[in-house]
Amino acid sequence: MRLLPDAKESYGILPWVIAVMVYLCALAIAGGFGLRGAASGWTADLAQKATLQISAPDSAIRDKMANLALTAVTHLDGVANAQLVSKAQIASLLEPWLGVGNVTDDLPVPALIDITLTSNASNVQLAAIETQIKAIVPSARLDTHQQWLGELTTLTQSIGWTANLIVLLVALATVAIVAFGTRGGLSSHRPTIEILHMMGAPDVLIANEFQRRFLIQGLIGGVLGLVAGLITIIGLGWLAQRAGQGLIASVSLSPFVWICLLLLPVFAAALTMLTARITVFRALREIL
Amino acid sequence: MVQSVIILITALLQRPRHEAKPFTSLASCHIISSLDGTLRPCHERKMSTAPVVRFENVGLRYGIGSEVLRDVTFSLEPGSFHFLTGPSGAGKSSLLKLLYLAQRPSRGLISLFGEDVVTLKRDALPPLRRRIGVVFQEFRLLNHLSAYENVALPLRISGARESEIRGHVQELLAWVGLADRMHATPPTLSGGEQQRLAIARAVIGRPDLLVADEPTGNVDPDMAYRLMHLFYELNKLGTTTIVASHDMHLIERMTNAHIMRLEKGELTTIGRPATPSAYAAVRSSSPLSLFT
Repeated sequence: MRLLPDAKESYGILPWVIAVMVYLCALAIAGGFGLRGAASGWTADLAQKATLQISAPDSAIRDKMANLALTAVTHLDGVANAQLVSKAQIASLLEPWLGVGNVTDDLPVPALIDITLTSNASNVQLAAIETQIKAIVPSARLDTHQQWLGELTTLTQSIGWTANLIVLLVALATVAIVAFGTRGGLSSHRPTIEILHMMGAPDVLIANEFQRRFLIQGLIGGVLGLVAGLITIIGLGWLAQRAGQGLIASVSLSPFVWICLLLLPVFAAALTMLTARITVFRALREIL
Repeated sequence: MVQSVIILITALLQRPRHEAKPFTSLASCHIISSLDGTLRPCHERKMSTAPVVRFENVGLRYGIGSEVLRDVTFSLEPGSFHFLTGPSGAGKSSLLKLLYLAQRPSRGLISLFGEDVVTLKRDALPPLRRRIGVVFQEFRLLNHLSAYENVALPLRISGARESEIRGHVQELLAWVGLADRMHATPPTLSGGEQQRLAIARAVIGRPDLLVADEPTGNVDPDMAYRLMHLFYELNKLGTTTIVASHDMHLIERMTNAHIMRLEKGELTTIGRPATPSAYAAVRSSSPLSLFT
């Protein structure tokens, strides 16, 4: 039996509010974790890489120095593999900027040597590699991506913390809204509650009635928000995959994140229910 | 958070489950009596001699206003029937509020069923409230529930089983003449029907104390008399009854009842019935079949 009359104005809006909250949480979680995952993927990829750059005004000297450097670098500690980037590859890298056919032989393009480091290569070894190569080819420059990676890591970590903060703020806002909603529900049902109270209904009975309602409302809203959130996340993921094959393809969510997302409506409903329950208990304490 | 979870779990485990007091005996007792035309009071309840209600120097004020009740002292013996009368604004409703535990007094001592309710913790009040039936002046029925569900409410709150509830409620609704209005909601009932419904709800749990605030205020004298008869029936089963009314005509007809008079917040007179057998007089002057 329903102890309280049917939901009216104060409840109608609640599932939608919860839906919006869950939607925002889902996006924040997916964005935060997705970016962090992608960043660690990039870091892992790039940390194993270094590029040796050799420039000389004359292309013949440049090629000679490049071959010298290549033979030297292959035997150094910490280097797993070294490879000269072919002219065709360099041309294809430059074409987007210079236009097809404009990369001519007389263009002073530096020679590039792609170095793959052993997995245990340290910064000390990188410095050693650079000094040893410089001794042979003074114009060589070793690009280790370290600085760029450091900045990227700081950025993605900051975005991750912001995402966590958003989830926390959304949860707090939800608590506040539910508390208001419960107060509203209590005052609109006040005559009924007083009668139940006068008949000797313990607070628990009345609180149960409210928490059951809010649990259902929270679940409905949570599922709505999650469905919308999943559509957005999957849609954005598909667009990202289509947009940048090489770079953004590694944005993927771990099973842990998917489980978190699927549990969001449960958390939302539980939060809603507990807030309603505590609010009802507090309000009932005010009447004898 | 952890605390909230614990609260939740304990709350779910603590849902009260009580046996409903069988109401059948009241109804069947009445049926027997209407068959052979005589009334047999069925005193199956053990009567304690301690007063059900005891007020000692009770004072009540709302906020910083003057006292609406002053030095009220009285006690209600088990199974007694009292009228509470007095002019409007004398404090009758306030006195009844103290009786049905909607209010604590500003001073003085109130004991209900031997419990000092002034110092009793809030959590201990619901079990006491379940022993009190209240008929509110304005009925205060739950409009979203059917007549049946309204009457069933006190039993549900006590945690009675559904099978028990159905029998008791149907029986009582038939008894107050609302058997065919069982599924109607209060707003669709007439004033008299609502009044009977409110009374049925108050008596379904066979309360130890019945408190009625102007229960005959809105009905014609004939209906008023019929409703008083219902209170007498319950009173004969041992329910201590107190009825606030300023219908002196009605009170005079109920010669069996004690009369308490309240004036300007003070209890002025406590009258005693002239003849102990006045109930018979009520019966003989009321030949109509009451609850069919």
